[in-house]
Amino acid sequence: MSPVTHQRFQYLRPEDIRRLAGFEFAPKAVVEGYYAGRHVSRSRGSSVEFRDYRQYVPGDDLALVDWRVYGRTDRFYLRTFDHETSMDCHLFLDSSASMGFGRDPSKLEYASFFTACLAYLVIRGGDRVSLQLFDRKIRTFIPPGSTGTHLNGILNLLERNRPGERTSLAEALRSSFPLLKRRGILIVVSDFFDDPAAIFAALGPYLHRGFKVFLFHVLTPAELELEGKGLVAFHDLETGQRVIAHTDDVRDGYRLALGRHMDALRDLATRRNVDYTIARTDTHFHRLFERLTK
Amino acid sequence: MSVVFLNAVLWPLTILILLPPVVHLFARARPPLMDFSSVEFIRRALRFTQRIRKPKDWLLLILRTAAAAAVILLFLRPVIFSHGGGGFFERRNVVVILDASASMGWSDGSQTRFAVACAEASEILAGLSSRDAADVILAGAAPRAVFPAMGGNIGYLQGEIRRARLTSEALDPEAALRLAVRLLNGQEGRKEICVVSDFQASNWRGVQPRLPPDIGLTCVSIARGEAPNAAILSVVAEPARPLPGEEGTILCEVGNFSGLPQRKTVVLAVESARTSREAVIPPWGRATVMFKQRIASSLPFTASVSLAEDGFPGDDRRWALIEPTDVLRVGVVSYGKDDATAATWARGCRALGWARPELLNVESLANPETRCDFLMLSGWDGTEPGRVRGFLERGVPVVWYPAAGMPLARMMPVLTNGAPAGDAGAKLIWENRPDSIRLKVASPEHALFRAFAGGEYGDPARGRVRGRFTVTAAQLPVGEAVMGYADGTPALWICRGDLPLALWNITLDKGLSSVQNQGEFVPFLGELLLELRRRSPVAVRLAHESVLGQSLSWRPGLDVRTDEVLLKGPDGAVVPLRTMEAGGGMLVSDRIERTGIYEWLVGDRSISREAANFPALESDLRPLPVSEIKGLGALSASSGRAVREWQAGIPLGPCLLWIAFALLLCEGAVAAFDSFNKPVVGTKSA
Repeated sequence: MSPVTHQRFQYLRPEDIRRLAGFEFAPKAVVEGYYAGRHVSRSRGSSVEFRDYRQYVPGDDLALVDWRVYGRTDRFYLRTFDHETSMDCHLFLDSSASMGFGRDPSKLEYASFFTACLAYLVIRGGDRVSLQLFDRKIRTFIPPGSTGTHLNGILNLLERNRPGERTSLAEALRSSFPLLKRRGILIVVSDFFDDPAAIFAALGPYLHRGFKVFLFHVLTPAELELEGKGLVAFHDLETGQRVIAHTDDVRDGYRLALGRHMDALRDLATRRNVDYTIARTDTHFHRLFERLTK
Repeated sequence: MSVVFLNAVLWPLTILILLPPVVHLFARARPPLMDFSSVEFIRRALRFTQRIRKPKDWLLLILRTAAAAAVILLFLRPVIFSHGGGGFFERRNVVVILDASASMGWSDGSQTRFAVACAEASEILAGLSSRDAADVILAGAAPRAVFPAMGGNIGYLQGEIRRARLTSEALDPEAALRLAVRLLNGQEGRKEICVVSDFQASNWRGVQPRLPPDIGLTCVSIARGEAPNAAILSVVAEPARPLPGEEGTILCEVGNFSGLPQRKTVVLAVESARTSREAVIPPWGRATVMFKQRIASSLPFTASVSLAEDGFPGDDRRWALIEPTDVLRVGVVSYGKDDATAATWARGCRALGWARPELLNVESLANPETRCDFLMLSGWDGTEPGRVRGFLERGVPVVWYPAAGMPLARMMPVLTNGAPAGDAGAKLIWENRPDSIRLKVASPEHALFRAFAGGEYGDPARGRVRGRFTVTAAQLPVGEAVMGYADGTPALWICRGDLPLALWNITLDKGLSSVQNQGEFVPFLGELLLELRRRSPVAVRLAHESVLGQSLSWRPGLDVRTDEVLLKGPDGAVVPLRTMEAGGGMLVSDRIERTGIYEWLVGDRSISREAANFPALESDLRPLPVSEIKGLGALSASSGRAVREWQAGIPLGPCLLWIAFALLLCEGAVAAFDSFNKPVVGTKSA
């Protein structure tokens, strides 16, 4: 059953729903949940997935004793199984002014499409999804939910969303940590115009708690390539600063600097076991689900 | 070094040199505004590409400014004067001394040095403008200017250079420089002497041109590489005036002017007879080849000596005129009254047959035209030694019977032309002996006594004397006592050295000596004279000889009409003559230009002959080192073009054009290098 009503949404189009029919949101992450579900939990439970043996202690359920082992060894051992549970997926969408860069689509539009489809996939899988819109701080927070109404709320929020102020992803991450009660999947969609070290410092508590973190770095081709426009006065969408430069003169230096920034993010992500993906706005966002679905 | 701008009126254009920096620093377009997500990375990129900080931009700015400067200077038409120029608008007076001496005939390859020199001289003249004045001096033994005074017809001078002929003369560099200075005196503007020559070391070494301070000297040396040469340097006969029947010797000196030893065949041609000798000449050395020649008669004859022709053929043949004589003149000079010694000498010479004594007075010794083959001085006290030295230096043997009481110190100046030496107070003391004393031969092996060795002519020391000068060998000039007294006192002392001087200490006074009465006296006297003649220096015994470039002269007698006198050259052509009134009607020829035998004729009758030879000075073709050329106080140029550039300046236009082109190329290369050498963007695959 589709969790979406027949209402038309800007960022979740029918053709996207059709194409997402073949996807199943299944990131390889260990979660903790209230309901029995499809996701592996660290809690031992009663699923069919055998984990290991453990010695019996008084109070254990005798039904779990492996009598065959007792017959061979004359000792009591229990068979333990993985407990499968539901998953909380926390979506962080950067809504700073820099995300308004680009046309058809802008980075924010591209990220909104991706976020909407992701929320749809999560709820369709019976899991819970939350959404945070942030720029310098948290602008809006929708707590985790798994109903169609919840999805409608997310989609409506995305449609109302507009680029805001300066980016401060680290600050936003630090602010939102107390809001997340359970560990799960943390998906950050941003242009990451912040200090990589500060970002990963802010991600540290999440990682420590066992969150599986996915970073989607949204960039337009114009940002990546810095096309030749000649002498241009660059206007910073976040700070309003102007810098006059000839694109031919600075292109290589710009690429170098941007490349170093991306390399720093990638290196830190690799070291912290964080999934980092470049999301070019000239590629379809469905390709990003390859990192998240099976 | 100085620079003159021919288009100086365009100097204000140089302000345009500032255009590139101004454009570079201040040209800012109003760029379109472009929203961008974050300028942080652009700002970081600008730290690398900030143009004001980047050396590349500074380099480009410098290159562009320099290129602009070069282009602007191009319009100013700069001309550079590398050596004391600056007087571009000043009238120039240039005298070109073109070396036409014999050494310029050496062919360095396809061209002779003279042909190269003509081209270089023409090149120098080509650099002069219509307002300049010039002249050309063709330098040989007697320098000759094309114009009597400085002229402006450069084309004519170049034509004269084309028509100029090489001579076989020796160069007189100082005469050429004097003539050049005379031509330049009184001229206004810059004055310059350009010498185009091979700067043959044998001619130019030691030359010190003393030029007025306002006259510059430039030397263009056209000698290139080595010039190996072999030459006949001299041909002399010994004796110079042989007697009929005498066996003479023709000595031929061959020079090797190269760094390798040379084997040469020297051929002597006397009339129709030819004789050859092999000679090996060491590097940069000389060899003397000797030919024996029996003198058949008293008629003069010519001898020519030749080598196989080499690259410099002018000096491979040489002529000598040998004039035998029937009698040799013996000048006898008596300084005292009733001098028995002088009279005895004269009588003895007369008895010899081949000698003709001539009694000369003392004053005649001062006359340079006094000619004799021997000089015998009796009673001379050594005063005015220069007169006698003149005879000795001309190769005339001198027999000297000194005066009593003469200071012994006066003997040395006769030989050395120096100050009196030895004991200044010692005098020649005459000693009369109560008993007679015998003579004896002190050196029996001496060539003087060769004829007496067989005893056929008796004992040359026979006879006794009762008086003599008391002198010891130590008091006499360096020499040898060939005859002495029993007590060791020298009786006949032959001085060693080049000058043929014999000191006679044998009185011939019949009251004091019996020597003159002996039959051996006359042959002994003859042998003495002949021996002294053999000892006379070779260099001064040349027959009549002139070198090319000189004029031949002859003084006709009173019975000869000058218009009947002819001078015929080796080729039979008549050489023009002129009469020198100042010389007492002496006939003088033009400068002789061909080697060989010249003959003076009165009508058809030959009256005199003279050999004209190549100047030996010109055979050594080694040039002066550049350092020594500079030592002349001159600028040294490698070519006429260089001189022309010094004088007319070097237009910098083409150079500036190339510089501008090169700068623009460099600018392009730097810009291209920058674009190709951009740092690689380090992006990893996402």
